[in-house]
Amino acid sequence: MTLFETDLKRNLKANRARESGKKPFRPSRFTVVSAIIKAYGLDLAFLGLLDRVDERVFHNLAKSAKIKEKPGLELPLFSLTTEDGYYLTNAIKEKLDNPYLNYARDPEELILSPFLYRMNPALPEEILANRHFAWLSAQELEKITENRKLP
Amino acid sequence: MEQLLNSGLEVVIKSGVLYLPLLFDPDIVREVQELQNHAGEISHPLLIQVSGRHFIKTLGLFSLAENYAQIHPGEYQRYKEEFLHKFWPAASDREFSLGPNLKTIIFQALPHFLRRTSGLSRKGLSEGEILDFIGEKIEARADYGKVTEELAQSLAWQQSRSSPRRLERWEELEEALAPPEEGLIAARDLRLWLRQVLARQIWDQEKARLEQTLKDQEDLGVISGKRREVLLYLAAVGSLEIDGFGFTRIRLPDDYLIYRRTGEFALKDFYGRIYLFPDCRVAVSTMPPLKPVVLEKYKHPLLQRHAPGQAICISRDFIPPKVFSGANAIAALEEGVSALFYNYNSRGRWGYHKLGDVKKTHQTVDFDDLKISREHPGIAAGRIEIKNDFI
Repeated sequence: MTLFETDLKRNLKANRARESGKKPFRPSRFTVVSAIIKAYGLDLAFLGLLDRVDERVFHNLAKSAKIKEKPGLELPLFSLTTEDGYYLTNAIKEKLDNPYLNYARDPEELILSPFLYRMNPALPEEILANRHFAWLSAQELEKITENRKLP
Repeated sequence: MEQLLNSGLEVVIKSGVLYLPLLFDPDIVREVQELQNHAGEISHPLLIQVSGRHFIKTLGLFSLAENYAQIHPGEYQRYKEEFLHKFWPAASDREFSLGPNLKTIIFQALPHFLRRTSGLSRKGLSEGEILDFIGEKIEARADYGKVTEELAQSLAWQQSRSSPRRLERWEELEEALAPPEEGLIAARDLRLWLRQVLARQIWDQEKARLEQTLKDQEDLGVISGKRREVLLYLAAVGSLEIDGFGFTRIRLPDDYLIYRRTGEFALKDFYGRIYLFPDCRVAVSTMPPLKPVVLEKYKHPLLQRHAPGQAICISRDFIPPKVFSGANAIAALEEGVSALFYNYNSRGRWGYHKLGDVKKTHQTVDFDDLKISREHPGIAAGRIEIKNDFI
């Protein structure tokens, strides 16, 4: 057996073990959005607001909340909503569609999530889970400004 | 449930069953889509579609109403109080109920234990004679006059409350309640219907209770004057002790402990030494099985420890009765008292402990402090009997 074959075999075993192992449970994106809708009593008006959010609004939000704390929102394991709630949740989820939605905990974070993702799609999970998106957005904006200043 | 009934939701009633709006998540949506045919209709035993919305089968409406008191005891109680308050704003706790257990104790158990000690003839006593006898004994009590006066007022008040006219008022509620119309219905309208059904249930229970009260009062009507006063007093105070026999209420409305005092008695051990046992109360409860216990903190060879409320080690031939009656209570009490008096055998192995056990290997209770000499005044005068002197 060559060295290559041994490595391949070991890799295959490790991959299979990783796949079959227990993975930590994470609430789905639907559950997160639905929980925020329920906690903050959001309705169709919020969906309308999302249509009007642009770069300027994003900049204002990021500037106004530099030291914002991440809100504590207890997420259910699974979320069940009414028929109307389901369609609203889906509409918001599809409109904002980005991986950072899973870490949003309030409506402001929902709004900021696509912009933040566009600016830095590689933020670590721990940072997203513990820092408010407004603060992160402000950090990212500062970085961009500094980069521009550099010769 | 209260939360649901107070919400702005719409629910569906179909064939007497409550259908609630189906809740969604992506998996449920997928499953519902799989159930739909080409025309978008669903044929499923649990799921229905009304006005384009999905509803899921939940509870039978009447089953919900019938079991509401068990499902939501807090809400039910609150509603009951609210409902009864509408009819009787002056409702108070001055309830009077002469329970069957109390009657059994007074008219069946008590006379049995009075016969020998009170010098009454052995012929059966009528209920009136029993009450006369009790009356003579309790009249001297300090609270007798006050309690009987209060009770007379309470009874008069209750009679007015449960008069036929009052019952007629309840008849207004007698109309049969139809289930709500089938189809979509606001949860608040369903709440109104449910409340009407609950009101009727409460009314039925209250009517039965009032009728029982009226019956009790009729019984009292047969017994008049002084005898009536005595019976009322016993029903209110719930305890009595005459000539070593007594009872005391342990739980409202009608649970009692019936007891008999043993008085001082003596037992002797294997070596003929005498032990003086103090007076104690041997009791049985009206709640079966009727197992005799010693109420006081007490020690005895037939009791396991030195503690209050211990069951007496009784003969295997005696099976504690599973029904409360006068005869059964008498049998259980006599079995208990006679076990304390006569079942200890200094030569046998019966019971938990031995008197005067010199080895004291497994002895957890010590009887040395009960030891007395044969010259003890009680023994010498014959006032205290050595119960096992025949061995």
